[in-house]
Amino acid sequence: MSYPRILRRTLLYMSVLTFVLWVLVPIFFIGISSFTPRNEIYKWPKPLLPSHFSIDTMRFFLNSYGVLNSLLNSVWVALLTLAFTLAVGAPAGYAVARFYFRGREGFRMGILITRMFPTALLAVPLAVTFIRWGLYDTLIGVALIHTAMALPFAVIITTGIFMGVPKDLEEAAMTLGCSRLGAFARVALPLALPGLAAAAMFTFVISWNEVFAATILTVHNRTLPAHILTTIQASPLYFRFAGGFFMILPTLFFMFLIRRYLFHMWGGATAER
Amino acid sequence: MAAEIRLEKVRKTFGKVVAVKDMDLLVEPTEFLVLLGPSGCGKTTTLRCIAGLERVDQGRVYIGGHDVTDLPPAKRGIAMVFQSYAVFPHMTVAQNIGFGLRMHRTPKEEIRKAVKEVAELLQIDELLDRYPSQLSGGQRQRVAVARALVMRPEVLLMDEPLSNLDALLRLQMRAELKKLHREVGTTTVYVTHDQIEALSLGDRIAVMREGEIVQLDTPNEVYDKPATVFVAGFIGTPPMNFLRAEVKEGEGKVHLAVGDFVVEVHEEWRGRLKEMLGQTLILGIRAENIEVRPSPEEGTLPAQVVVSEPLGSQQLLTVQVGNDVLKVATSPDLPIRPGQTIGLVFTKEKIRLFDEASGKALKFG
Repeated sequence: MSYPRILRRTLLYMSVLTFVLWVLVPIFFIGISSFTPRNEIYKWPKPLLPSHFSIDTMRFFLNSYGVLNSLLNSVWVALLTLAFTLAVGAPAGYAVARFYFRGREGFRMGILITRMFPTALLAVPLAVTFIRWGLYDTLIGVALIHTAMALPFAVIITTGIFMGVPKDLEEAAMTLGCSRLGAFARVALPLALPGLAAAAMFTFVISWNEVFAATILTVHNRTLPAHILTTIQASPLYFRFAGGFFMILPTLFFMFLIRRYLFHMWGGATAER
Repeated sequence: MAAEIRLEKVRKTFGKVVAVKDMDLLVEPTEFLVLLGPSGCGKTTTLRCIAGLERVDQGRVYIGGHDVTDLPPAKRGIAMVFQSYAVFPHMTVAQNIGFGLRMHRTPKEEIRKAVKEVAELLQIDELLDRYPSQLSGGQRQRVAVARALVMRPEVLLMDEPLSNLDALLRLQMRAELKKLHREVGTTTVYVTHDQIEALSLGDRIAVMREGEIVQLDTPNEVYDKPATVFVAGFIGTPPMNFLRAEVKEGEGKVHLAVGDFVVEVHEEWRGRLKEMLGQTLILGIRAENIEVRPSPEEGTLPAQVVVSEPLGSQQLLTVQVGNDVLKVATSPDLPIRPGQTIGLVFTKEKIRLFDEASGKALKFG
């Protein structure tokens, strides 16, 4: 290997390492702290691993008032979001992948613009509108907002997925006796299923993590992040760690499962099958 | 079983591009018709219009006498083999082949029998339990053909089925497709840009250009009597040679002049040519219809050899005549060196004349 190449490699790996540590170190400490016995949390210098493993903190968090309820709310909202998003996003992705229509490229670009719009600006008008429509402080209301947030990603991911299913296959099915819909159901859908599952998980994670809209639009029916956000300032440190770790866990899990599709979505690096 | 296909004034446009231009076409029952042309000439679109995968803008499509213009592909009695094979990756070979019959609610036992039969015909009966990812390109191709044939279609449509195979396999499958067609006898429309494939497979060849059929004839006619300069230049390896020739009269006889060289013409042509005295025509002649003399004798066209390529069964010369470059096929035994001046003689019967402006072949008698 030539000298400049070694240099470039070293720089590359160092920056990768920096980014990885940037993300992983906090997660590591949050994770460790949430399983550390309470009296050890404030110790200094901090040991890298706790003296013994304790689930007291986690248990305390899960049993504290409102957590279980908001956890259920979160799951409900996420599932509703998932259903709404796939119901609208998957057909949209299919359309973009399969059909040439006027303004298709514009649509693909434009769909991301909704994400560029700062939600904070929308807070008051949204709350007012939701109160007027009777959606304020309801799970469906939060799910609708989450759907609006997840939809662009869902469309982009499903577009990629359906583009990966050759049009020929559906046409072949049509020449063999299927209707348009039948060809979709028997050929395109089964082949797209793993990718659609990935899109579903991503949507779930977006909703699970979303805190701003959920906080503004609910009072009693808080989702978990909203609940934690509103109670956290008044809570002891170990409660915050436990809450944080509990929030991270499903996200990490789902992201790990679908990482290949996320790479695919950004149109880049080929992750191994 | 085999049906006739008739296109009446079929037109298909994509935006401003006219892919198929008011096409009329009649394919006889059991005929093997090849649609041949360069990419973008509309041959695949024509096939897809017959299949029902494209809706025609104008005109009608008939299969077996029924107007199928407004019917979806499933109801047209066709089967199609795609360029990419389009074998379903999530089904085994047996499920792939049986797919169409399943869609038509054929009883299971019958499907099993039919699949086995057609798999044997295509020699893939050993592979029935495999998935497409475990097959080679040639095997996938066979699955695609089997999947179409098992339907016992009235019309079989094939879109460049051999273009993804390597050269040797292509040669082998070509012969096999021809044999299959003879055994099954389904009316077949076959799209290709490979003129050798077209010549070897077709009962008739429709040469297409810019959405229109330029010539529809048997392979021999298309090869020997191309209707236009385009067809002559598209078909044959190497393509036909072209020279500019002037119609002249000397010693009471009409002849063609290539520079100073006098090319004798068929007696039957003289009457017609006499009316065209002084006009410039395009003279077309194939490489194998030019005789080579080692030195430029009296009555031969002098030419300088640029390149000599031994091709095994023949020797292909690239020669220069004035500003024109010709390809000449000759015996591999003839000792010829680059730079050498040789004499050429055109076989009179094989000369083809084209109008310079329209590119259309002149018709005699």
